[in-house]
Amino acid sequence: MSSTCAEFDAADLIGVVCAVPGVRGIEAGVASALRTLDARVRRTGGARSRYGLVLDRKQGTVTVEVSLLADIAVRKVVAAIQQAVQQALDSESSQVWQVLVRVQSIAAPSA
Amino acid sequence: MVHSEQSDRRPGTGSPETEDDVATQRYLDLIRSAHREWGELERSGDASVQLSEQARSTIRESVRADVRHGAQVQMPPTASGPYTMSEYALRGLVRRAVDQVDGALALKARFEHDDSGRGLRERGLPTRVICRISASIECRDLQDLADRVRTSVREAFAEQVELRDPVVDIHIEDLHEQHVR
Amino acid sequence: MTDQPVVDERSLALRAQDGDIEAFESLVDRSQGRLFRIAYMVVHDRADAEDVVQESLVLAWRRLHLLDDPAAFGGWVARICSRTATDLVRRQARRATDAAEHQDLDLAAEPGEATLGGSAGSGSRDPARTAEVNAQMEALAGILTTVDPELRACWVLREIDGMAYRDTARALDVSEQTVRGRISRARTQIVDRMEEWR
Repeated sequence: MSSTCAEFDAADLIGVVCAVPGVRGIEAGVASALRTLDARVRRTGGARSRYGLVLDRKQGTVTVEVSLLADIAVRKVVAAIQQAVQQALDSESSQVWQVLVRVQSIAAPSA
Repeated sequence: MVHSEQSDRRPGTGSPETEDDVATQRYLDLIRSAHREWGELERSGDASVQLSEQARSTIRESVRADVRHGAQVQMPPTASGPYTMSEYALRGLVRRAVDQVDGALALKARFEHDDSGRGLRERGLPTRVICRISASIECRDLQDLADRVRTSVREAFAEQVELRDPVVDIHIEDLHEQHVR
Repeated sequence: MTDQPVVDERSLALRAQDGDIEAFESLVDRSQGRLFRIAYMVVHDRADAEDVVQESLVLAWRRLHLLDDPAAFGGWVARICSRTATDLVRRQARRATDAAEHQDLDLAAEPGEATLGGSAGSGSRDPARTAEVNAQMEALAGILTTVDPELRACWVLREIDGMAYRDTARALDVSEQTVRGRISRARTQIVDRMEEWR
């Protein structure tokens, strides 16, 4: 399943999120797992889902569920995620995106 | 309803059946010696009385893969947008803040929220944190300990998520020993 | 040198309920040996016993939020373990019976291997596997296969886990009087076997 080179899809954005310092990885909760299932079953346009990330072009929203590392303050990592995703999407359109981050867990700092 | 006392106490007292007593005593000795042996073997790491390391590792993996996140809790938005934290992550944050206070051990935390019109799996901004903790028996001033824990939790909220006004209740419900490692 | 808190089981259970995975892992470390011995006494097979304990502890993790009294974690997880072990033995007995009824010689127990409990292990009764288990455990478990299955779990919880009569009654959902009766009968059967073998 390939996207046009100007268009980011959920898989690309996952890469963007995971590259942010302080992010341990994507960690899907029940809600997004269901949403992913629902989108696949209904094959709706406008929403692209991967496990842990939902990109909704119609609404102009991205919802991403993450696990963080304890080294950097939560709000700083979250802001960095939001900025990184917005920057990535800015390159494809002038649409204003809302990036909702759900912090599922924070890994205990290594001793 | 009358309970026979004898089934609770070790037999061999008062019964006229000597052979039975001897056999029962052999049985009890076997059980006792078995427990002693198993305890020693387990402490020494002997695999014949406990799970293999493989099985223990599998349990650890399954547990880590199966975490209950709980509801999503609203946080003060960043300059770039809104975010939430799971109750699980929030409790971890509080637990670390409590544990880092000398003499305090976190037990369990609970939150109250500003919950105007939220869904089932969403909670509003935390307004109160109730921390159940254990204090070291060497702690001379429990009030001071509670204050230090409160400060640590408030600082964690301010620093990590910019939540500045939660009420923090500390409940010291247990005492624990400390040992030197 | 650092001061480390000595954490009791109740505190560990509370922290585990709070979401502290390491606390739960400590509980696993403290209980796994005892649970393994309980399971082995009931199922008499090392591999099955390990499966039972793994299943029980993961289930305990999933249901931890339902535990009202964190101080009772040990008894609670022992209950889960004995129930899981007993269920396994029953399933195996049913399979053996079904196989015999359908005259499927591949699945039925070998002649002479069927015991009062009617359960054959999952095939690891060969000497190499049995040698992996402590000799006294093996001896007791062997005797237990001749004890009525209904009495077995009762006896195991009392004699192997050291559970009080009242807690055993709650674990098995029977009256305390029934527990005392069953344990008494189990003891008698075991004592008789032990004397036979002398």
